[in-house]
Amino acid sequence: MTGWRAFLHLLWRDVRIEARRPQFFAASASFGVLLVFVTGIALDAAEHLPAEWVSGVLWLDIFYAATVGVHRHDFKDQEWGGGEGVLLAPVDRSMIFYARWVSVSLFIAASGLVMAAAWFLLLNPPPPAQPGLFAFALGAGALGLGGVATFVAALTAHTRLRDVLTPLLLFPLAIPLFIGVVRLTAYALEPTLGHPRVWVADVLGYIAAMLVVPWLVYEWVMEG
Amino acid sequence: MNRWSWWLAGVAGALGFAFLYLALIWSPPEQQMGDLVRIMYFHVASAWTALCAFFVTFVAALGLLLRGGERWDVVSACSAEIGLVYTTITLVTGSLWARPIWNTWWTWDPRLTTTLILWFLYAGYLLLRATLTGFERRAKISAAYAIIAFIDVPIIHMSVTWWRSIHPSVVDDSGFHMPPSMAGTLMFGFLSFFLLYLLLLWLRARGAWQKLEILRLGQAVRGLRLREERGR
Repeated sequence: MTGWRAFLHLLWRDVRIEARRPQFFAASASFGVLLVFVTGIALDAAEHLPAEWVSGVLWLDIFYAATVGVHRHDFKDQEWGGGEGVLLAPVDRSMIFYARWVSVSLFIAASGLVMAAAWFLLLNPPPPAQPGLFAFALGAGALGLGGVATFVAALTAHTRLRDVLTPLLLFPLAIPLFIGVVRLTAYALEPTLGHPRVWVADVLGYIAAMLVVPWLVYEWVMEG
Repeated sequence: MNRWSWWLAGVAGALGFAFLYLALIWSPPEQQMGDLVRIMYFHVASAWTALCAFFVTFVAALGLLLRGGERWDVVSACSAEIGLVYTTITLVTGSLWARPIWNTWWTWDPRLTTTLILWFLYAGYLLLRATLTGFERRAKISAAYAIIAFIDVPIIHMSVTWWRSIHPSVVDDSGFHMPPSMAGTLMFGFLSFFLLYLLLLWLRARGAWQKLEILRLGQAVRGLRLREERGR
């Protein structure tokens, strides 16, 4: 089996399992919408928040919500022994990481869209002056967050405190991505804030790092 | 402690007392900050030592994954523990200095922010180790995290610097931004802090290694007992 075929096979497997019973999507999206709602109450139902604040609220909610659903696949794999079966596949272990990364990113993007809709409805931010940049921030943010979340989930899969440890390890590692997507979203809402080129480079650089570094060490994590 | 440890402890102690004299009495007060500059000697020296400690953690983690062996894991974990203590000293002294100078205990400056993130990264590393079971699994997974965390540090620093900056710079490409008496005290402080780090690393790693040996001996004794009971 070639690496590319194994990648597509694993990706299709994750998507089908999620489509049968969408636990990741349901848990992340509902928790994310709830977070947007609670944040609105915490901010005293303010109607006109600055673009930087409102962007920060959106991404904080997406990051938190992603940590809720990121272990769903592992639970299923452990329950049915699928994880051990995947490890027996005669392909490079990094293919398992890349397939899981893409599937987790797709689910984060889907739940992020639901959260963004709730965010527009409840917090009333201005409509994006640059919709393309807004879409790029959502897509790239989901991809970068999917990468780091997949890696951290693999690290914490065998720990006793995985639910606490996952956000504790994920948030410090994801700070460059978090700052980048918050700034890009703010620029998309209000282009007068400055030029976003540096933040595009920051986010793309982070995704590139996620592409290379876990590939180097993922095999040891899986063996562990 | 063996003879070498006592010697190292003696030298580190003597250097420590000399550093206290240099930093608190000999070094002149700064023109604008006055005596508050003395905090800087402890703050900068502990920050540099913490970075050295995390670099050792990174190198030992690489050593473990590439060459194998429990000694790498012991060094990696012990260095991270000591580095975390030095990072805590950096954060506390920085806050003590910032209060009278910037009129706040905390500000969102890149170096402060990056240092606090560094603290969280390595606190997470130690928590990850504490919650993993099995020697080999713990060693490999925590080594993978240590490598990612260390590589992430410059990216974090860049992103936070683009975000905002007001921190004074005491050393950059053009050299020290202070008189030679102060620069000398700072370098002496770093030397004494680094020597203390080496001493602590040696003692801590030896203790951890001995603990592992005792565990192995305990397992071997239990195995022998079981064999003896079966023989009866």
